[in-house]
Amino acid sequence: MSALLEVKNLKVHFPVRHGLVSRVKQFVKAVDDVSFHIAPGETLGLVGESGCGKTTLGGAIVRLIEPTAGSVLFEGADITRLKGAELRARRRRMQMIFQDPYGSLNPRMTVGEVVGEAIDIHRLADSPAARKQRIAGLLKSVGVDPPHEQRYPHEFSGGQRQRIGIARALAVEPKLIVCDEPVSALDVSVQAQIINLLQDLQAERRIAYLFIAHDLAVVEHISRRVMVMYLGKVVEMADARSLMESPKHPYTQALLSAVPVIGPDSRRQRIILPGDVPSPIHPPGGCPFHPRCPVAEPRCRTEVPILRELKAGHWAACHLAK
Amino acid sequence: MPLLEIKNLKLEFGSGGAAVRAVDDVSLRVDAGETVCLVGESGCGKSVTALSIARLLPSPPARYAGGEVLLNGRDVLKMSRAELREIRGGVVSYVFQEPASSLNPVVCVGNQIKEALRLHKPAIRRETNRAQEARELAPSSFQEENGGRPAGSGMAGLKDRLMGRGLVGGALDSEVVRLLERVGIPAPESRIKNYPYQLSGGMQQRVMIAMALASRPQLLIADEPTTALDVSIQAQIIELLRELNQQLGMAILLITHNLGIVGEIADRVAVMYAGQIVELASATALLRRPRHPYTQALMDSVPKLGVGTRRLRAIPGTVPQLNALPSGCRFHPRCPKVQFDCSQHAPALVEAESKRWVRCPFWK
Repeated sequence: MSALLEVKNLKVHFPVRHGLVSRVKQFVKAVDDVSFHIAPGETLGLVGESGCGKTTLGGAIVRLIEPTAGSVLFEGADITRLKGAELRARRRRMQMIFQDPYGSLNPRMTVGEVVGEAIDIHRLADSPAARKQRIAGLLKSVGVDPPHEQRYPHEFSGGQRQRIGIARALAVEPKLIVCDEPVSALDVSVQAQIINLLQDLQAERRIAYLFIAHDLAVVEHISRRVMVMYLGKVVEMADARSLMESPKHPYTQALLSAVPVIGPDSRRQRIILPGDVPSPIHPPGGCPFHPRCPVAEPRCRTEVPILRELKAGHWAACHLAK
Repeated sequence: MPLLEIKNLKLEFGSGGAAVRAVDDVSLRVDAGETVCLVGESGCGKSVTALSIARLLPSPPARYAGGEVLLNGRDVLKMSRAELREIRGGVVSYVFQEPASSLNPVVCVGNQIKEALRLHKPAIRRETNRAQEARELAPSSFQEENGGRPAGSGMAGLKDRLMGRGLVGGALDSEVVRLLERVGIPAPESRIKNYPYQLSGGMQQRVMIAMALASRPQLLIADEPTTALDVSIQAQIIELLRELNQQLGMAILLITHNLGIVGEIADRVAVMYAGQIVELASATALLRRPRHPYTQALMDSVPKLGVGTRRLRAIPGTVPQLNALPSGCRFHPRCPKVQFDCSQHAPALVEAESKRWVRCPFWK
């Protein structure tokens, strides 16, 4: 199998410093031993609550965050070991779209400059005319009128800005885009436009997405496979449909039942999880989910469950899952 | 007599030619013990409508251009400052979207809840005044109970005493614990001295709800109370609101953009678009069969669990700016069912079926 991206045992640990001499006493295990792959043109969804490490994982893949251990193979090359020009060349093929369309565009640059910057850095246009034409083409492909390239980000609505962020990511012809909550800051009616746009672009250009979101319905809609994270670990990974129809991990089951469903009869039986996500500095021993788990057994407190394949392509990290 | 009756409310910002009408002729009723949801996208006027109920918008820039907001039959828009102070917290309490920015970061949560109690619960205040007298006779332990502030002298000290501040009245303390327990905070005694940053987002929102409950209001207005929270915490908070509604008989006006929440909690729903109510119905009827094209489009544009990856039906365009509203029906440029005269005539909100109002002549 030729994967576009293959992540092996990736760890990102942040030191917690204490005291006068800033001695490192503890680590936040934001991403702890995560492995997965993404095929060309595929969408892998990544779901989890705030603080589970999903954004850190996304950042570590494009090496905006330095991983502590493990490897990230992108088109066969280990991103974590590359330097300088080599890294830059590889990075051109992987891009990121951010959550906040207001914070991720430089307010002092026109839209043309925002999109053109990437073209300049990677020298993708050989004449000013070609550059201009390329910018116009990119803006058009994301549904922004090309004459608007003279305008500044503040003149656009949230949805339009997210389109500009997508155009910027597309400028360098990436094969992988890490989408970090790309629609959660947008209005409901605009969310659907952006999701459709991302799907159209994928169909046209065969781009793979790592689609990070906390909204399970959105993730299920756009992804072929879905990965669920809890406290830095992957607790379940499966085909989107099989995850929705028969979730194996109690955490996934609770998350799914907590999603409000539009409909007159939605006052159904729900699994309401007690408490909050524990602090990742002091994660619970054994299974990290056991203090909130409705079906925990004594051994869940001591034994760490490993991610095992329950049926073809459906993985879960739970002692009790069948 | 309904608990809350908003009649033809018109609210403007700015003045003269530059004035924009953020709320245009909105009428809405909330009966005692009822849960009503106000749904819409950003900028549709749902939050300013909610803020008008206790007249919380500073005026200017806000200007009430007409209508009435009747709380227990009395018009809030005509109340004096003293009357407003009485209803704010007394009859109506608010819970806002961002608990972290609604709570005071330098006051521990116990004291923030006590403030609400002191202002609104005279019975407890009298008891604590007696406790204060007792303390003044033995002032040694008085100072450290004051949250780090010196139990000052002069004007500040006088004010503190009048407000009953810095006290550890036993009745007040036990009421705070009871409230925190009521909103589901585990080990409430140990949380009283916590500062907001020591609590998670869900816990902070519970503290906000405890503060709102302190004065036993008849109406709780929750403005996107779960939008900043994770899904599993959101479910907890919705469950709590439902419980409070059922057990205390407190009416709730919930403002949200999430139609999924409506089915979980609401008796009735009002959908707003560009400053107007476009559909008003019972939650079951609206969710089963939305009548207004905007409500329909809104429901279609949301991905649903377990439906697979069919293409989403997005609503084209964006929400109009209030200073550039389309002519005729405000939704017509984005409407999939637009007819030739939709841009000519502004439709009225008509009773399409019994207890069901729709602002579209083609609702059938």
